[in-house]
Amino acid sequence: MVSGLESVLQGWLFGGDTTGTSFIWNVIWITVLFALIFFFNQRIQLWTYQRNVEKAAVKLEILAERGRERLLEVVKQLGGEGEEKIKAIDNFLEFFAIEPVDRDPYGVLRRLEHILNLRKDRIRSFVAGIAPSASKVQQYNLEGVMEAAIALNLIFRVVRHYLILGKKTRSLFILMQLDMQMPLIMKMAEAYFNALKAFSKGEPIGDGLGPLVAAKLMHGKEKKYVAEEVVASEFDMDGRRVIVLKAEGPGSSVGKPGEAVARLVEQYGGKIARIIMVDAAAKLEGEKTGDVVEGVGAAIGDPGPEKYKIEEAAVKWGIPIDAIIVKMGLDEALSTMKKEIVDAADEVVERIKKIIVERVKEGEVVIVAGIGNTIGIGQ
Amino acid sequence: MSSSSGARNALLAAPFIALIASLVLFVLSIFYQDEEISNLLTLASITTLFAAWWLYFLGRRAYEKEKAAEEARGAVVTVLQCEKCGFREEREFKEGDYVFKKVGECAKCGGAWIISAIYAKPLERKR
Repeated sequence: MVSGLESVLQGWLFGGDTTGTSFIWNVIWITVLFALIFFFNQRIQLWTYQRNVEKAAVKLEILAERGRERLLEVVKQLGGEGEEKIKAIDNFLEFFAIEPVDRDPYGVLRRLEHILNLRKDRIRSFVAGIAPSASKVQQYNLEGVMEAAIALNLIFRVVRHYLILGKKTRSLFILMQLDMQMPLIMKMAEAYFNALKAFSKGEPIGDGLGPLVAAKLMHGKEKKYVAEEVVASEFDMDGRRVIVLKAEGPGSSVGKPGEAVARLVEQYGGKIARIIMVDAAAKLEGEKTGDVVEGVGAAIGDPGPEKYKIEEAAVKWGIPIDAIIVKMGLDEALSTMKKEIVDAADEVVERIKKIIVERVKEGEVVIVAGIGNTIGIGQ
Repeated sequence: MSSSSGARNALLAAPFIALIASLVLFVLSIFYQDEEISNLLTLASITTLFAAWWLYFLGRRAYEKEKAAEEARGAVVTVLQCEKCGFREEREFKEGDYVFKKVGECAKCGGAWIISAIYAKPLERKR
């Protein structure tokens, strides 16, 4: 008995008999198969990678467009309407800052700081222009929305650029690299999209862990400005003088904590026993969100200038720096704060108290710096 | 919610039904004596197998979309707490809320009623 499948294969694919017809069919099929394997395999691979990247690029375009729409919606809510403003926002989505030349590294951080200040000032004045009636906190949050929308737009444009370049040059190398990096790129884009949602509503984000810890320590105490957008409280704890600082909330801001620490150290003539820094840090895959870990060094993820100032001050006066980090993913750092991170903040507060009692002598001064974006966190 | 989960269940069940149908057709094609009908049954079996794969693909995509939408709907919670007696309450986040904002007085002891935390609460899944 001939089975159905066998008969179909014989009848439809190989001619159904054992005469010359079958032989010709066999030759045709084998030729086609070999042609596919030897001559078109790379082309097929290229199509596969290209199709994957095209699909991802469409998703990125949707995210960038939805980001833009959300930005326009927020601006409209804050009283900024009209075609001119929409045009200005569309132009501003391609805003960029050129990094300073580093072939001659002398003074590169000073120059970088200057560019970063310029960038911030430009975004701030643009936001003030499109939403003049918004409060300071709303304008700061709008800045965060703007930054996230700019990042989404940039990611989409870069991916589209390489996709078109790969198609034009038929480069398997470009398309393959792009396709293989796509999961990470998509994750990053989704993180920025979630950040955009959190910033538009003024919700605290995971990166606000440092300011949350500082706020818990300084709540109810007198505050003073110690640097641009940085507030600090001084109080006694078990006979030690504690200075806690954070970016001024609840608007979206990271402030200049490096500048603040450097100024405080100088103000006290270098007589600072320790600097304790608290920040959110990227976790490795497999690690748990909200894990609290201790180490040494300046725990701050800025592009360089703020970290440099803290390290300089610490080296000049020989001050030890303790770092306490709370682990989280990039997406968690940029989206609304999770319960695990809120719980970790309480644990960090306890650790800081323990460090102060164990490593700082009575009568000595210690600085506690809560690093991160303080959106949705007051003091 | 119930209509969407019904649709999701149907999308998840469809590929299994198609897979069983494909297997039945294949077995029938083996035992059928008439060669022509046997061939047709085999073809029907292969087609149903592809249909099962396609339905599985569609179902999975719909499930992932629904899962992403559920996650996006996860509520943001504001925790209100009395600084004096520690009494606490939770409510949905409102624009303008921020941690350590004083929102009034405690209904129990008259102490300062502040926002002590704001966090994203994952949506509890109904099984």
